Formats: sequence, C-alpha cells, structure tokens
Amino acid sequence: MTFRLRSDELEWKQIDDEIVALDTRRAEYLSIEGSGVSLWHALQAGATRSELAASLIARYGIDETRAGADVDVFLDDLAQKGLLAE
Amino acid sequence: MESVDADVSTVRGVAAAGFWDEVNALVDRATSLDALRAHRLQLLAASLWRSTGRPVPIELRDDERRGAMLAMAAPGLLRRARAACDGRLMLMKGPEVACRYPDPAARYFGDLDLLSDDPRATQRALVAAGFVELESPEDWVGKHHLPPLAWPGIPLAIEVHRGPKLPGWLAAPTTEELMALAVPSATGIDGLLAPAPAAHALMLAAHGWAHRPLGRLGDLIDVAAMLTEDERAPAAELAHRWGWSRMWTTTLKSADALLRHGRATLPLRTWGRYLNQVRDLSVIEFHVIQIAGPLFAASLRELPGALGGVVAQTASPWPGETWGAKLTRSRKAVVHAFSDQADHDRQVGHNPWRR
Repeated sequence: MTFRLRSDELEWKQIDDEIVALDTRRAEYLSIEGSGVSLWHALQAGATRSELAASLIARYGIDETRAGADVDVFLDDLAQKGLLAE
Repeated sequence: MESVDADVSTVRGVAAAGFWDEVNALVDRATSLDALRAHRLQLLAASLWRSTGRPVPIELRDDERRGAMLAMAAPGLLRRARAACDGRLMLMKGPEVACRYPDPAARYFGDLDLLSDDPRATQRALVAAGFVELESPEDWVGKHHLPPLAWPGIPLAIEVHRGPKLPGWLAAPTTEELMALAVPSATGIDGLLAPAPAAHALMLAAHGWAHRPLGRLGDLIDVAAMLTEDERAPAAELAHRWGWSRMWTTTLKSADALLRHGRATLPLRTWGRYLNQVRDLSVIEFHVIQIAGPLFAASLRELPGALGGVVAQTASPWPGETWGAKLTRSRKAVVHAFSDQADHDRQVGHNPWRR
C-alpha cells in the first residue's frame, strides 16, 4: 500500500531541519523535525511502509524493527490528523 | 499540496539588475538583530545568510518560522475572503509586495490589507462566512480600516480598509480611482486585484511616511522593488496628480541613494543617517523624524497642519493611556534619549501609533 500526503489545503515550508506545515482545512499548524522530515518528503511523492522504513535505515543506520516502529508512529499521527490521502 | 514558494506568480526580480545585491549589502551592514528588525530586514538576513552558508541565529529562525506560518496562511485566507464577498477586492502591501522579492518568504507581513468599494458590506460578508471581528467596531470608527478579522485558529488578521493608510497631511485618492488603476493580484488568486505597480509604489511610500517617516529600509526596499524603469514615469505622473510629488521625490531619491548608488540626499546626510548605517533609531531620532519628515515631504500648503498633527500626537497620551502614565513615559524618553528605540520600547511598551 502506498501512503501519500493529502494533495489539497496543506501547505508547508522547510526551514533548516524543520518542516512547518499548515493544514488549512483544520486551521492547524504542525512542526516536523528529525527523521519526520525525510519521511515527509518521501510521503510527498508517495511511498510504501517498507520504502519509508528503508529510507530511515539508510539515513540513520537503525535496525529494521525500530525503523518500522518509527514509521508506524509517524503514519498513525498523520492519519489521525487527516493528512494522508484517502 | 504545494510548498509556499510555488504559490506566487512570475513577477519576481522585476527590479533593476543588481538591486538585490545592494539590498544584501545593506543587510550585511546591520549593526544588530534589533537593527534588522527595526528596518524589517530580519527575514532577508536569514534568507541571505542561509543561501551563503552562514549560520542563522536561533532568534532569526524563530522570526522565519513565524513569517512562514503567516505566509502559508495568506493564500487560503485570501481565497476564503474572495469567495465570501461580491464586488471588487484589492490586496495592498503584504503578500502582494512579497511577490516582488526573490524569495517571497523573506518579506514579512503581519496582516492582510484589503480594499473594497463597500467596506462595510465586505466586512459583513466576511463575518457571515465565518471570520470573527477581533475588536469592537466602536473602537474603529473613523479609522482607515474596520475592526481586524480573523479565521479561527489562524493568527493572521484581515483588515478591510476604507482607504489606504496615509500621513494626515496627504490627500487620499478615492477608492474609485484606485480601483480604476487595479491589476490582477500577483498572488494569482482568481478575482483578487492589486494596485497597479506605480500606484502601489506610491501607496507603500505614503504608508511608510504615516508610520515612521523615512524610518525603515524595508519600506524603501518595498517601494523600489515595486518599480521597474518603465514604471517610474507613471509613478511620478500619478504623484503629481494626487499632490504627492514632494513626498514621492524625497522617498525615491532616498531609495535611489541607498539602493542604486544615487547621490546622498539631505535627509540621508543629516537626520536619516541611521538608514545608511543600518542601525536602529535612537529615541531622540525617532522624535526628530516625526518633525523632519513633514518638512521634507509635505507641500508648503500641507506643512502647518502636518507639524500641528505631529505636536498634538507627541503631546497626547496613547489611546487608553492616562496622563500620569504619559508623563512617566515622557520622562523615560528624556532619560533614554540616546538609547536605541527598541531598548526604550522594551521598557515602556509598544506605541500603538508606531507599527
């Protein structure tokens, strides 16, 4: 399954190592830092869970279990905020 | 979804070649972070320093974050406002000017200024659409705009104007005349208008004189960024028609001196040296420019009224301030006469007349 960020009413800007985003539908701001920044970029294009985990492993040298758990937490958070495409 | 940078049109970089290099040179001359903020150059500084690999201080990153949050909110709010009301709607300053910057995120704005043919009807339509008035209408009777409006959760206000903000000594063009000069907004939002560049440059200049006469480099950069070579003659003609020639000439010569290697003007060599030195004004300089400004920008006919207005404003308490508090503040101003205005403001509070 490919996950992708919602394509409308979501604006963002990267400032150094932080992404500042505005969900204009809910009028909510988000700040994303750390590994979330690379996941955010990957989700912009669309990526599977395993591709996202692989990107974390390649970037941070963490093991597969931890990478998968981090991806799950991040995807859950985005899903709860309604930021993933249906 | 799109990053904010993609949400502007293609008018960037219309200023003369080398113009932004001169702006960057001024930014690099700033004496302090307070000076950058006083001249509204802080986001330009952050953008410049990041692009050249220099470290960006944490305070500037905070400013950038706030600027980015507001800039991201602007297109959505403007679309909502446009959809909520009928008739012509004109965006002034703020994001419209930002479109002329090489990096629009480097031009800070704190609100959205809209002009319409019927401001009260526009205000009512926006409230009906879900915008909330932040202050009581009674507090804004006779002011140049109606009470600021906010969309719940978004910290960027919309101000529906009765007319552009001008020094009291300048005659205002009618809304009808401004609308007749309107062009599609550079933000690309369907149905949203903006003043024609020459008219916009004049309005930006006048706005600067209303708040801090020749007091901010950011104001002069805005004016110059709005003008191509081809727009200089129409701007001069319009200034003449509106009776703004003296204000316009003083503004443009000062901008040219600072940003186009023009000849230093008398204000820049005397009471406006803080501009070339890119430093914050001292308290006494702030008071001097209030008087010197009209002397260099008002016509002879306007001058007595202009100076009278300055004296009345300086001698009066701020809105809601008691006379006792006013006298205490005046004593502190004397004590702090040669301190930076930002330091003085931190001690006595913000002057609501000076945004």
